[in-house]
Amino acid sequence: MNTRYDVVVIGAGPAGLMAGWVCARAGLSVLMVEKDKQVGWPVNCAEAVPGRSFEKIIRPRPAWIKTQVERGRLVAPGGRYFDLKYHKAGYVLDRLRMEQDLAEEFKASGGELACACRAENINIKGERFNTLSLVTNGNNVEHVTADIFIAADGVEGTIARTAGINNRYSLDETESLLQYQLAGVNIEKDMLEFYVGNNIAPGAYAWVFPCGEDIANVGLGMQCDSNRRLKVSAYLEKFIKNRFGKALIVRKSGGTCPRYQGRRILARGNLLVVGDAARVLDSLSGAGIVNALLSGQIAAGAAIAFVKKEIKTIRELHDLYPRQFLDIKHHELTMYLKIKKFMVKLSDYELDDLVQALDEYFVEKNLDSFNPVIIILGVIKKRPRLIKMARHLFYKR
Amino acid sequence: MLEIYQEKCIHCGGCITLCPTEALLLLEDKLTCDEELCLLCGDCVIFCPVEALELACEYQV
Repeated sequence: MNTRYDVVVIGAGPAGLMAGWVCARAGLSVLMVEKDKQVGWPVNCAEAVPGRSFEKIIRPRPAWIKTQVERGRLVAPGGRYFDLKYHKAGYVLDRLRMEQDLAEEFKASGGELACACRAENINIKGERFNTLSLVTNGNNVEHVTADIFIAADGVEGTIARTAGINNRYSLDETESLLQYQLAGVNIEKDMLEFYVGNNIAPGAYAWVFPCGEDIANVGLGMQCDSNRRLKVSAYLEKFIKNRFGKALIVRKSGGTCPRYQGRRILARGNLLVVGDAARVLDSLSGAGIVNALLSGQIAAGAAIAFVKKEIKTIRELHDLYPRQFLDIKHHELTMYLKIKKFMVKLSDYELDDLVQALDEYFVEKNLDSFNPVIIILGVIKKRPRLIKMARHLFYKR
Repeated sequence: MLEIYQEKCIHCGGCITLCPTEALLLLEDKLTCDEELCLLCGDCVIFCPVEALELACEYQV
């Protein structure tokens, strides 16, 4: 490890790997530090991505794809469901494999990867962040300096906080997510299933994502609430029993889905925050891989321009990242956050109504893509009593 | 005090940002809690999806 690099990337997840790889390909000297002993572990993810938007960013290798899905099914508490079909609707990924391959690409492009190396804090010198303290081998402290720091340290987001960015969230904005990989289950291989309902998954949903012929990622999210007696594992086990009967648990994973917190936490000086650390997840579904890759890519572009002195000031840097990213995603992320806040309040009766209205709407229009605003307006025309949804969504502060 | 069951922890990191005093820290291979900082608020215990955290009672009633 040297003491000086053009760019230091903290965290080797999808966002960090993408950012590091793009920088390394452009000929910059890049150090990537990863807390764990190997890249890609542990995978705390349901691993499904929307097919088309994923392919726009990166061409997936066949080995990264466990299954290709062509439809999604949303099941209401009453059992009624609505199917949405379109070509390349999504992939269920092998994230471990994908991240290991990206790490190899990163190293082949000249990047340096340091595993079992934890970034502790970032120090300011003058107007800019200058040095990053690293802990290696458990207690060895080292310092590296760089022109640009990219924080991709995931949900924890510790580095951004040491830089003074408040990316904290409270318990009532948090979901507790638990997932079992099950073997020997009866599933349809080309379909993602989502189940909503206050007795199934209060405040969120349960999912069944196929990983192979009879293997599936089955998980459940639940709004954290100190008054609730049952833990998320109780809900998940009940769900699995109702859906599959008996099943073999291969692996357990879990985590949380931090909600989008707006533009203020994406950058500070020459520190760019990407991926889950920047909370750029779709708050409604919890999908974060595509946004992580995209934010990493755009942040890398900004870093390259800055290091190569095409731009000089921090203001110009921020015009590239986060500005360019937010121009594409801010509206969408805000909309999903609003829908999420509304969905949490719906009763089982209203959820039934909503799913039925969606079904009628899609059959009529034969749509094959999503624009939440148009869908919501269509649904409200069908069910005027859901008008309070529109008021909530389009109300501006 | 806060009891941490390392063998249950899946290293998701969700509790770290939730902690109001930054008492929790995820090291290379384990989760640690600084008892001087911990307020025993229990938010992390409510969150933890795998029940790796527990508020242990020090005094038996």
